[in-house]
Amino acid sequence: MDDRVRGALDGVAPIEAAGVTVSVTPRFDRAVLRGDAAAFGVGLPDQVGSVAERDAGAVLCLGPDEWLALAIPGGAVLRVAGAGAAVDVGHRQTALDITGRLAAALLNAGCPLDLHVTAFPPGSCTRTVCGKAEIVLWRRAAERFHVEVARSYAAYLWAFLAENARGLR
Amino acid sequence: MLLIPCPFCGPRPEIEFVYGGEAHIARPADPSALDDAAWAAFLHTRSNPRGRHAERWRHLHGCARFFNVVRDTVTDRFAEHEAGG
Amino acid sequence: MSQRFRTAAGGRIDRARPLGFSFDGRGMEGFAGDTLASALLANGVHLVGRSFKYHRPRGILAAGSEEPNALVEIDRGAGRRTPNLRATQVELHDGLVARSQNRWPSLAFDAGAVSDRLAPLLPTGFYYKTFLWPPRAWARLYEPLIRRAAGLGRAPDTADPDRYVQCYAHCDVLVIGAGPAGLAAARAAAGSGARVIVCDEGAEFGGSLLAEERARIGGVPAAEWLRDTLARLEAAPETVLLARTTAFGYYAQNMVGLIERVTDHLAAPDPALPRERLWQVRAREVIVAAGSIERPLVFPGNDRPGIMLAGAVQSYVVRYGVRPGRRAVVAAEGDSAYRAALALHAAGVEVAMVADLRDAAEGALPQMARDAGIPVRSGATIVGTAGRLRVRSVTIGFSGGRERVAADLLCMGGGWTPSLHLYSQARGRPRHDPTIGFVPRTPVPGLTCVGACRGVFGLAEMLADGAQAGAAAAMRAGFAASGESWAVEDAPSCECAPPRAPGPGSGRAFVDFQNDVTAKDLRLATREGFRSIEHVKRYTTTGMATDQGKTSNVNALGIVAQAVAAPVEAVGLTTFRPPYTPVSFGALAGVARGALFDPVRTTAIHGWAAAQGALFEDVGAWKRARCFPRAGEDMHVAVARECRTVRETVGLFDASTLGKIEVVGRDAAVFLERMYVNALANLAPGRCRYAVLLGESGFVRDDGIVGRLSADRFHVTTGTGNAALVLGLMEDYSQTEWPELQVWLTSVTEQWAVIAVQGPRAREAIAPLVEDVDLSRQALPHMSVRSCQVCGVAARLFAVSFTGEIGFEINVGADHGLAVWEQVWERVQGLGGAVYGTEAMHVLRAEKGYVIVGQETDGTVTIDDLGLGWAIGRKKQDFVGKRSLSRPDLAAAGRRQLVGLALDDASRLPEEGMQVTAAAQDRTAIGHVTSAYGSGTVGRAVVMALVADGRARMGEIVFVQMTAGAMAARVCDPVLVDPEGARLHG
Repeated sequence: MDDRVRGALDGVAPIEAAGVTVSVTPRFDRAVLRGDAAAFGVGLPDQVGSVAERDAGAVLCLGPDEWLALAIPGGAVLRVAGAGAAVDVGHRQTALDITGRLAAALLNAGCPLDLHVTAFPPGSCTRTVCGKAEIVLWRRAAERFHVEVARSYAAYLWAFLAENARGLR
Repeated sequence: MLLIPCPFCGPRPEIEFVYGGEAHIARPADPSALDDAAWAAFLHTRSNPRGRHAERWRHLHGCARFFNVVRDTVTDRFAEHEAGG
Repeated sequence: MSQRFRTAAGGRIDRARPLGFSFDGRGMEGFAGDTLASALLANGVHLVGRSFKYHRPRGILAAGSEEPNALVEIDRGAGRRTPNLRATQVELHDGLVARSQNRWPSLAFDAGAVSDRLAPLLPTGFYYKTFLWPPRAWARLYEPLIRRAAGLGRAPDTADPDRYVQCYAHCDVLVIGAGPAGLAAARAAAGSGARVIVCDEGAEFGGSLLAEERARIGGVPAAEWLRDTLARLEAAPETVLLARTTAFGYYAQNMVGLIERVTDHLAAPDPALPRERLWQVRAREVIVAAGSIERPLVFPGNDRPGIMLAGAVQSYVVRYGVRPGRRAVVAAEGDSAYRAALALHAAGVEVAMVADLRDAAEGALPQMARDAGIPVRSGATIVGTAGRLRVRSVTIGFSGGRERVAADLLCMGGGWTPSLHLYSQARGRPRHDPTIGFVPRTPVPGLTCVGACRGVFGLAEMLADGAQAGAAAAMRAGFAASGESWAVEDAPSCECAPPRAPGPGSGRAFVDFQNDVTAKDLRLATREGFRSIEHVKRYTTTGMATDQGKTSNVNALGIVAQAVAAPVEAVGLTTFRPPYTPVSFGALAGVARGALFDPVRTTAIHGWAAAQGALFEDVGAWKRARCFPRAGEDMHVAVARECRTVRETVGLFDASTLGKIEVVGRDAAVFLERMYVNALANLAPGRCRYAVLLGESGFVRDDGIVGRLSADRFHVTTGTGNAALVLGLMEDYSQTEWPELQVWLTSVTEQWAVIAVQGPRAREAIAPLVEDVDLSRQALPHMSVRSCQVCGVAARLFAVSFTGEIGFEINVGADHGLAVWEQVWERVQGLGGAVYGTEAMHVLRAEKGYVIVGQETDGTVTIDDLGLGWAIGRKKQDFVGKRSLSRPDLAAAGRRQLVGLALDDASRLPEEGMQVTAAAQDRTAIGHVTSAYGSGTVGRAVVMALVADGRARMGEIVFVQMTAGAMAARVCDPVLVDPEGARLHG
C-alpha cells in the first residue's frame, strides 16, 4: 500500500527565499540503534556528533551509545547480535533539506548552536532545538543541512522556517 | 542563557538541557532498611549551598545523557566535570 | 521660513534630500540624516514635551539615547503607534508623523501644568503620604487619577501588524559601540581574521567622531579615518556590522542581547523585512566601548527648553548642521564644554559668555575660545533662569555679584560619566575615582571595557586603548593580532571635571528630568531617614524612569553623599539592569505569535477528522477530536450518540497521541519490574498488563499498558500529556541508578498511529482486515498483543479497552495511519458504528470507574487513594515509590479516596473541582469532585470524587457545593457499568 503512504508534509511546495531553499526529502527508513557499537556488525561512527555516510543512507552518532540510521527504503536491515537494541522509527520523523548560502542563518533563527562552517563542519550531526521543536541536524555540505523533526512538529517547524525565511539577512 | 559543558558534546546552550537537581543523592540499595526520617532526608533534604554546587544536568535535546558538573551558584560559572551519574 | 536654524553648510545631513514630516500636526521639513530632534531644532522647535509629574515644558536635552525629556509618539498607521520614543534617536524619513505626549489640550497650553504650581504640595513620597485613606479609594479614585495626570505616552490599542524576528549568532569578538575606541578595537580584531560583530545604537558608526571637526588621525582628518576604517571592516569577510543596534542586556557567559531596528527609519520599507530583529549573541570576547554620558548641571530652573547638554549642542551644530539658538551661554565645569562654544561661534551663533564654574580656566580650549573672541568668565555659578516655554535669560553669580544674560540657549557641561551599564550587568564592581567618578574595578572574564566607558578620555588615548584591547581579545580567541597605532593631531586635551555635588540653592533644581525629581526631594529623603542610595532611589524614584537615570544617577549620588556627609563611594552606585534602553514586546515575542506561538501537534488522522466536522480540544500541545457532531447535533447530543453507539455497536477512536515507549534489552523486564508497582517480570510475551507508575515520593505519576512483544522487547504506553515526563523519569533511573541493566528506551509515540475500535462488534469490525491472527476470545483474550499485518501493513494489535467494551487498538506506522483508518472506518460504518471523540471517551471510561492520571490525581494522590492497590505486586521487595507508601502521612486514615457520587437530582451536573462537605451548611470540605459527565447509559450524572475515608462511607449522604447551593449526593462505587466485566471479556 505504498501508494497510500502519507508523510506529515506531503504536498507542500518548497520554501524558496533569497539565499535559501527548504524542501521535504524523499522517504527514509530509520532505526534508532542503542548499545555497544560492536553489537551491530557494521562499523558505526564512534565520535558523538559524527556521521558515516553509506551508499544508501547514513548513520548519525547522536550520543555515546545512540545512533540514528537513515536509509532509503529497501536498504539493508541491521541485525543486532549483542548488547544493543534496534527500534524502527521510520514513521516517527520527517526530514527537510535546507540548502543555500543562508541555510545556516535560517536555522539560527531558532537554533542556538554555532553553525559557522568551522564550528559545525560538513559531516557533523547533533540533536538540538529549532524554535520550540527538537530537531536532529546533519550538515551534509557547507550550504546543505538535513533536518529530522518529529512528525507532529513538522508543520510547526515548516511554518517557523517559512516565516523566518522572509527578509533573512 | 548558560553555556553548559556537556562531557560528550562540549559547551552547549542551556535551552538544550533539563536540570536534574543536586548530584550524589544515590537511591538507597534497600529503601525498606531506612527509617522514615532517613527516607525523608533522601527524598527532600538538599544542601542548597552558596558557591560550589555539584549538580546533575541532562542534555535532553543533545546526546540525552545525564552528567554531573560543579557550578558556582553565585557566579553561575561551571567548574569541572565529574565522572559517573 | 523652513529650517531657519540650519547652518549654511556642513554636517553629515544630505541637503539634497529634503524630507517632510509633521510634529503635532504641523508640517515641517528636514534633511536625510536628521533625527527628529535635529530636524525640530532646525525648525526652531525646542518645546517637545511635558514632564511626568509637574507637566513642566521640556525640550531636547541630549543628542543620544540618554535623552530624558524629548519622548514622543511616532504614528506609522493603524497598530503602529509607538509611544515614548526618544526624538534624539528617531531617524527622520519622509512622511514621519510625530506627536508630543502627556499634555492636554495642547503642548503650549497644558491644563495639567497646574500640578507645577501645586509643586510645594507634591513633595517626594507624596503618593505614599497622601493617598492613604480610605484604602478602597485606591483602586477606584486615586490610582486612576494619578495614572491620568502623571505618566508618559499612550499604549497602542490594536494588535501590532509588524513582523519581528530573532536570531542566534556567535562570534569571537563582539564590539559594543562604534566610537573611536570601539572602531579601533574592531579594526584590530577584524584584521586578525577573527569573527567579529560590531554594533552601535546610532544610525551611523563613528560615535564622537561624527561631531569631530578638527582632529586628524594618522595624518588624515578624523572623518577620513572613519571612512577608511568602515571600508576595512566591511571588507573583512567574517565581520558583521550592525548599525541601529542596541546591546540592551548582558547575560551569563558572554551572551549579549542586541536589538536591531531594521525598518523604522524607512519611509516605505520592504514588507519582507522585519521591523526589528533581536540577536542573541554568544561571544568569546566582549569589548564594551559604550562611551560616556555628559552630566547636566543642577541649578534652579535647569529644565527649561533651550537648556541643553554642551556635547549635544556640539553634535547638533557639527553633525547635523543645526544652530540650536541665536544667543548662547555655555556653563562649563570642564574644558569639553568649550568645544560647544567654539562650534556655535563657528556656526554664527553669538556666544554671550562661557561661564566657567571652576576658579580658573587655563587649558588649551579656554584659550582657543578667548582667541576667538568669546567672553570667558571663571568662578561662576548659575543662579537661575527665566522663560516660560523657552529659556530667555540666565542669571549668573560671580564673587562680585550677579549678572543676568539674555540667551535662548544654555549649554551645560557638567563633566562626563563613564557608561557602566553593561559592565555592571555583567556583575562587574566599579570603584570611585576622585577625578573621573565610577570606573570599572573587578575584572569580568571575557569582557573588556575600553575608552570613555572605563574613564579613558582623549582621542589618542581612546584609539590606543581600543586597538590594544581589540588585538588582545582576538589573541585570547586564538588569532594572531596586533593593534595599530595612530598619531593624533589637533585634538586638544580636555581637563576632566570630577563630579561634584551642586550647592544648595533656592528654587527647583532638577536632577532626574524624566521622573521630575529635584535636589530638594533627594535632600528631603535623607532628612526622612533614607541613607542607602537604593532606598533613596525607590523613595524618590530618581533613576527609575525609562532612561534609568543615565543623566541623573551621578548627580543624585553626589547630592545624597553631601546630604549624609559621607564619601560618594560609601553611598554606592545603584544596580544597572537590562534593558539599557526599552525593548519592544514585539521583538521579545519574535515570530512566536499567532499560529507560531506554540507548536500545534496533530495526528495522522487529524485532517480526516477535520473534514468530518470534528470539534477539537487541546490536550497538551496536541489537538484531539473532542466529538463529531452530525448535522443538527450540538455537542451534548453528539457525545450521547457516540457513547450509545460504542456501548451498543462499535466506535472508532484516534488514540495516536498516547505516549509510547519501546523498552528493549536483556534486562528490560527487570527494569520495568523496578519502575512500575506491578509484577511485570512474569508477564508472558503476547500479554499486556495495566500498570501504575509512582514517583519516589509515593504519589501516582502515570498509568498505562505494558505489553510484552518478546522476551526482551516491551511496548509501554503513557498518558498523552505524560509521555516526556515518563521517559525522562525512566531514563534517569536507567542511566544513573541502574546503569548495570542492559535496557534501552526509545520514544515511539510518533512512530505509531493508534486506531481504537471499541464496542460489542469490535471484533467483527476488524476481523477481515487482520492477517494471521486468531481474534477469538480464547486465542486473543483481553490484555493481549500481537505483531501482525493489518490492511497489509505491519501492525501491533492490542486487545485492550478503555471503555469497558471489547476493544482493540491497532498500531500502524504513522504514515500508514490514515489509509488504515479509512479502511477500518468503512467496516465500522458498515456495521452501523460511529467515530467518537475524547469527550465520549471520558464518559465511557468514567462509567467504568477508570481513572485518568491528571484528572483524578493532582500529584498528591496515592495508588491506594485511587483504589488501585490491587495492582501492586505483593511479592515485590522494591519498586520506585514503594518505601514512601509506608510513610505515616501516606498510610494514615482519613485520606481522600476515590468514590462515585450519585446526585439526588438526576438533571444536575456538578463541575470538576467542586467541594464536597459532610453537611449542607459545612464550610470545611471533606473532598472534591474530580470528574463529572452526563451519561445516557447510567441515566444520571457520572461523578467521581475524592472523599475522606470515602470507601468507608458507601451509602452515606454528602453534599456537593454547587454554585446554586449544596446538593445532596450518595456515596457509591465508581464503577457504574458492568462491574463484573462480562462485556469486556465477552
